[in-house]
Amino acid sequence: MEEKQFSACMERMKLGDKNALHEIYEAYVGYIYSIVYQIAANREDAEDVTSEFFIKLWRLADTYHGGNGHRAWMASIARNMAIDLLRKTKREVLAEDFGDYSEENASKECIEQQVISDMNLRQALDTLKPNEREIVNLKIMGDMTFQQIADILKLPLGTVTWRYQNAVKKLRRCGYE
Amino acid sequence: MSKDLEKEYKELAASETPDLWARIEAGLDTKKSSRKHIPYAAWAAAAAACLCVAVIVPFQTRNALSGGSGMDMAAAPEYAAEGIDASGMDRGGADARYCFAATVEILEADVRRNSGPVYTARVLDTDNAELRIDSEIQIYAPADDREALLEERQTYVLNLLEEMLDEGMVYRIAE
Repeated sequence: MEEKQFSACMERMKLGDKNALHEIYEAYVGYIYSIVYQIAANREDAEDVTSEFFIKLWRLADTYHGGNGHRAWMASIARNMAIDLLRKTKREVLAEDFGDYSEENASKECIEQQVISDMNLRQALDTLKPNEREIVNLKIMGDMTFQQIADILKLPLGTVTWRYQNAVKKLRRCGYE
Repeated sequence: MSKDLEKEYKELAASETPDLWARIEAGLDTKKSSRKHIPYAAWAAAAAACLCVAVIVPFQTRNALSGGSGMDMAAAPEYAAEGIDASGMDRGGADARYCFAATVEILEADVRRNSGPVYTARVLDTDNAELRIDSEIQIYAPADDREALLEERQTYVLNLLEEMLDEGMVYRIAE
């Protein structure tokens, strides 16, 4: 969805047009769900936060001023909501701390059980660290620049590009370009 | 043979995304559909115009009959009491500012490098009739407020300035 189209939907939402929210939902539910799932790490919580995100977007339409970068704006809100949920449920897992153990186990499984080039994409993505997956997700689903991703994740630009390049190398080994 | 990462990634994401629309629609605030900005402003302007006519005409008539010089300054407090600027009908217009008090709960504090913090806040109470209770607003703080941030999840009573700029309504903490 283009910036103008998004702003127009938000204007219609101010007047109570639910179809406008539905248009935004159709365009971005996959994007928002993927961002939230990277953090929540389970379907039930990801569904809860994604639903609450669109309900919050409905209310935020009242004070939305438009401008550039609605994808980054939504990603930031969704991400914060997911992190808030983790904090509330006292699961102190933050993006930076996502278990290295999962990457280690996944890669052992990858080498022992699979011919790498025969992996499907889900398996290939499981070889990435969670913080690498998060960056890949924002890059592909959000079509964002590295600077925008760095701003959302509050990381240095160099860290974002380095992690992305690492992720791409791993995926390339699995046959994805 | 290389596989197209972006294409397959988006297809995978779409296949794994649940259908949440019914749940979202059930949670939407139905009061929103009955809100009408424009009619409210039009009624307020019409009421203000009627008041002006009702006050000015008798004075002008009386002054004309008695040879007086103009509007009685005793009328000024009525405008002030009604909250109407003596020179206009409403508080709009480019760069017009309106000061009001609001009790807000800070939901999010966004500290910015080159300007003051920007807060996302929920309105709990206010004397601004055009601001809805329970709505979420963004509040811009002065740059020197970076040292004394408002805390998330805390409630504050703030004096705010409402500014109508080209890009829309903006709220700032009054200095």
